Amino acid sequence: MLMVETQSAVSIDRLSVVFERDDGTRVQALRDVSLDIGEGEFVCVLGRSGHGKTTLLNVVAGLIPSYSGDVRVLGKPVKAPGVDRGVIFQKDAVFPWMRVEDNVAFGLRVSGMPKPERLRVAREHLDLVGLRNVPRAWPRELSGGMRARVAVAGVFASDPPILLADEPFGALDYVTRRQLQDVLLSLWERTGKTIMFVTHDVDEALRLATRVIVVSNGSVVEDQAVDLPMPRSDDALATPRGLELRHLLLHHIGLE
Amino acid sequence: MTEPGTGAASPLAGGAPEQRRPAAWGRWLAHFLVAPSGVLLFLAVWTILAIELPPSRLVSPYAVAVDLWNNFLRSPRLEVFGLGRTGYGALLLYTTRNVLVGLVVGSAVGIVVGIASARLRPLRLIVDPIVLVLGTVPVLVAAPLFLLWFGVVPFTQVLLVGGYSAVMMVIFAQRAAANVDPVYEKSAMARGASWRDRLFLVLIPGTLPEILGGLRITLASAWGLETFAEILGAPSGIGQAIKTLTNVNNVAGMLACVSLVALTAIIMDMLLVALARWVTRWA
Amino acid sequence: MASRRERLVSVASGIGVFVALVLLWELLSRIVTATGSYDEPLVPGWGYLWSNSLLRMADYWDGSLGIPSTVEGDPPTYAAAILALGKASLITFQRVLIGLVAGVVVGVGLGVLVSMSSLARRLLAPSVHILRMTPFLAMIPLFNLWFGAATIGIILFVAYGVGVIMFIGAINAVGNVPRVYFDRAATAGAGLATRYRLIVMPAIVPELRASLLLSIGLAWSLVVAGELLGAQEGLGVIVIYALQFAYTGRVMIIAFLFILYAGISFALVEAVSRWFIRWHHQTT
Repeated sequence: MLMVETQSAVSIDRLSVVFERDDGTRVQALRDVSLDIGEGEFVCVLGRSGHGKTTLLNVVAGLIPSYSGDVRVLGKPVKAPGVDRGVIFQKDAVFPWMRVEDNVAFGLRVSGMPKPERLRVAREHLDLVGLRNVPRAWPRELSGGMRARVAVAGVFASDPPILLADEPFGALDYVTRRQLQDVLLSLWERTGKTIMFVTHDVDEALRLATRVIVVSNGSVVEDQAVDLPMPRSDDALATPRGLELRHLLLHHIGLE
Repeated sequence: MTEPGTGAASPLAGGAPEQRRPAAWGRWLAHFLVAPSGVLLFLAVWTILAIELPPSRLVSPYAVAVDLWNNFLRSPRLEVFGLGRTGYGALLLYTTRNVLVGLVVGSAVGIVVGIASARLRPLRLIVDPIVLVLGTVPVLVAAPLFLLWFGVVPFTQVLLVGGYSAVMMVIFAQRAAANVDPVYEKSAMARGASWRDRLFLVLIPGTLPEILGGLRITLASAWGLETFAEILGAPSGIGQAIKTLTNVNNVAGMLACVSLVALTAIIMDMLLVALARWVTRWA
Repeated sequence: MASRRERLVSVASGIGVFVALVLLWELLSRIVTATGSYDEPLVPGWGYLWSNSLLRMADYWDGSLGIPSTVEGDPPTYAAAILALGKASLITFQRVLIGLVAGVVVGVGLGVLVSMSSLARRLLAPSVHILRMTPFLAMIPLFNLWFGAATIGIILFVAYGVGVIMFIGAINAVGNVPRVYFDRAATAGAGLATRYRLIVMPAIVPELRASLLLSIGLAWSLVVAGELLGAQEGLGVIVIYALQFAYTGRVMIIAFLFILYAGISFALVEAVSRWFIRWHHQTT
């Protein structure tokens, strides 16, 4: 694995986020989080619902402008969303009024790429995620799994150095989720992007990540490198080292 | 698609994506100051227009308020033109009574037919074609006919409002019943509920939020229908006052009467919202 | 989802219901034989409607195109009756169309514009609520006073009513665009203009379509009301004349025409606008 980079892709220093509810009470979503993600790492942020992992991702994405602390992406402080970070959302964010290929080409269209060229790139990426045959379909004609593939293709087509994913496969059935994990892994290996991937699923984190960060009650409680060889079959995860990591992570999210 | 009639709701109800939430005091200020300053804005624009335009076209809100005050209990001006010893208040009472009677009777029929036809297919086959035509059609065209058949009596206007309410509420009640998740009725049946239990314990409470929403939209339109029917021909009512004042080009009086109907409509809408909020506090 | 057979049953029963209503009306006309002033039956049967009420529409023909007018003593003809109805219909239809288009364009344009600023939206909310709750129909005399009772006044009246509905519809529709679409556009680097062009404008179409379909019925209502109170020409004017002589049959003919036109224009707009939301999951 390539681990020789000196520059960090994402660096977070004493990040805190406080939300205010409508009734005026305050909720501390993140408390004093410090974190460094190197280029090319595949980091899974693991935690239970409501413990701040999505907030962490949204701060890095630039979708939460008011935070305290220092958050930098590729050395530049984060103030707003930017094309250096692609995001795959938890909710289905495939635009229903655009055909599949236009959805994939959306980022390229925004950046001003001419139509023939961006459609060529879009079709290439549809190929990579296994959706060769449906470029002209409407999203409503696709299954949830296929729409998730469209989202993955779209974010890779825009080619941002950093990819942020917020439980992108959470709503899919087990088999589909496993297939999409493989798609994502193969794209990651092919492109070497830095990936920050939020999940509540320990097995998903172990299958994908080179490093797992456990967030609990708004703080980082564990930062664990996953030193298992890729690709990780079910057998590889059932080795003593795999089981040890699994128990460690389960312990930190409140089980066992 | 959401229901087409959300128009009666305040545009705030939807709430656009808030990009940045203001601080606590800012939100407090916004909550307590923006709405009143919005009303002030409305009155300010009206006043400026009134200053620009000749008084034969538009008068200021103040002049309208004065006219309202002077003619509310007794209006000698209306007396002269044959409406008898009366004032805006008494005429408004006539209008309000007709609207409420028409609305209550009409929507009661409409709601029963709507819910029943949503669950009884033979009834639905009869109701749907009628509603399909009457629902997309201007009810107003019936106003002259009713006037010819029943004459210049309150019943003419009540029938118009009632017929309109019935058709609207059939549509809303049908849609509401269709939107009640069948799992609730299945669950009730699985626990031994009779059809009466299903109706009174599941279907009616389950459809209530949507039905009350529909009632709000229907009520809002009913005021216009009633007033128009009165302008066309009625023994009393604020519409008659508008007609009389139009004939003598009394702008202040016309605006006073229209504002009075609008004000009543807004207050009634608020009452209905309060009632709906209490009845459906579980939702 | 209705199966083919079920749809067939509902179409057949629909036709059955209308046939039953037509027969019921005929029966009623035989039972209630009372007449109003000028010997017009209060409940005119279909025969009377055809041979008298429809034919007598010729009274409203001005005698141009070589088709003689009854004013000069010629007997009424169906040609003159149809021409009279056609001409009045064209005038009314033109008012509906111009008023509807103007109202939709201005209402949606302003609505989208206002929705850009949350402060503007909240500041204007009370005014919009007041305008919405002020019964349109009570305002016809005011529109007549401001813009005259002729065509312009009626067109503006229709445009005003439709505009208010579409304005509110547009603001609500923009508010209902899921936040995640804005977020995705923002993270892809889209600026405000791009977000409105590529996200907001297409995303609000289904809801705008619902408001538009609502506006069609409203536009016809407003034009009827406008014409009944002081227009010089158009379908509503025929009703005014007929009311003066208690010609129930003629009022009914015009009412049927309004129902027909409103129904057809509704169905037409619904069918045509469906193309614009073919991407939407509820393309029914």
